[in-house]
Amino acid sequence: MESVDRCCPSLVVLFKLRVVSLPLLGAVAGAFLGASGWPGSHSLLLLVITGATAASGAAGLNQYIERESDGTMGRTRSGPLPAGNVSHPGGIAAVGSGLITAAVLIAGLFNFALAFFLLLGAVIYVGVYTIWRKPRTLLNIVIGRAAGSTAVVSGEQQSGPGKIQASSRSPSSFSCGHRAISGAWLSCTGMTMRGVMYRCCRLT
Amino acid sequence: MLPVDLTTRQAAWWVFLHTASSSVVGFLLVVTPALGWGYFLPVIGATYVLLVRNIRLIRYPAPRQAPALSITSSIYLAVRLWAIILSTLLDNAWPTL
Repeated sequence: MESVDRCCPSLVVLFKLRVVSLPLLGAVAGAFLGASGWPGSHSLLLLVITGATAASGAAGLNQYIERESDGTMGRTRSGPLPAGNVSHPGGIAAVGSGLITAAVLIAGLFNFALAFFLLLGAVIYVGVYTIWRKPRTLLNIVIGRAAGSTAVVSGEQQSGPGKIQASSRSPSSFSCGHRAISGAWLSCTGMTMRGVMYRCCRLT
Repeated sequence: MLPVDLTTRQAAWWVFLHTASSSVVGFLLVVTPALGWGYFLPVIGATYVLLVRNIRLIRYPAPRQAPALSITSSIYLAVRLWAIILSTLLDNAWPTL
């Protein structure tokens, strides 16, 4: 039991479960917008399970890739990987990749568009944000918004844009596009500001 | 590790840039038919609180202000997302009440 108590906080940090909750809420909000109401329990269940799995996997990969640079920052120095609390760090990368793959495959069985946006979000977060741009530019925090935006768009895809078009109150195609873009912005606003704030803390 | 070389005040202005742009985009959701006052009333309040905190950070860029604004921004985002969910539900339920 004691080992479970010690293990769980590490898992929460390693897979950023607290951070994942906000993009997940963004995906759910996107689903409600896409359906203009209740999107259906099956849709929501699939979205939450696959979204949480893919986002946690991407977060795990992020933690693995940044384990050395995290060790040089006060805020992240005490994390499980930088502190050396994980005996096989490569296992985190393997689990993270596995989670993303599983989420995409499961989503693909039901909704190809959902699977596509889950994969796109993971690729942007890990490939573009973590590996490519983050070590190079201050503006990366803005570029990183794209990863959060896919959560909202995936939610909207899952609840079916077709429902909106069929609605008697259906908006124009402009409005649909605008909603997706606006949702994309708002989904990652908090993350963006949080990132800049952390830098602010670190500098002082 | 981020390649950052900023003063605290510069970082505060960066944050304000994001706050302002996000506030504007949030209110632009007015074109979405599914969202009504159930969305806008809480978002107006949350935006006001966020802007006030951000301005406070610019005026007094103390280290303890930064995490406070970070928490506020997360709450602000959560309020907006929940407001979207509740507003779409209310908008659908209203005609049947």
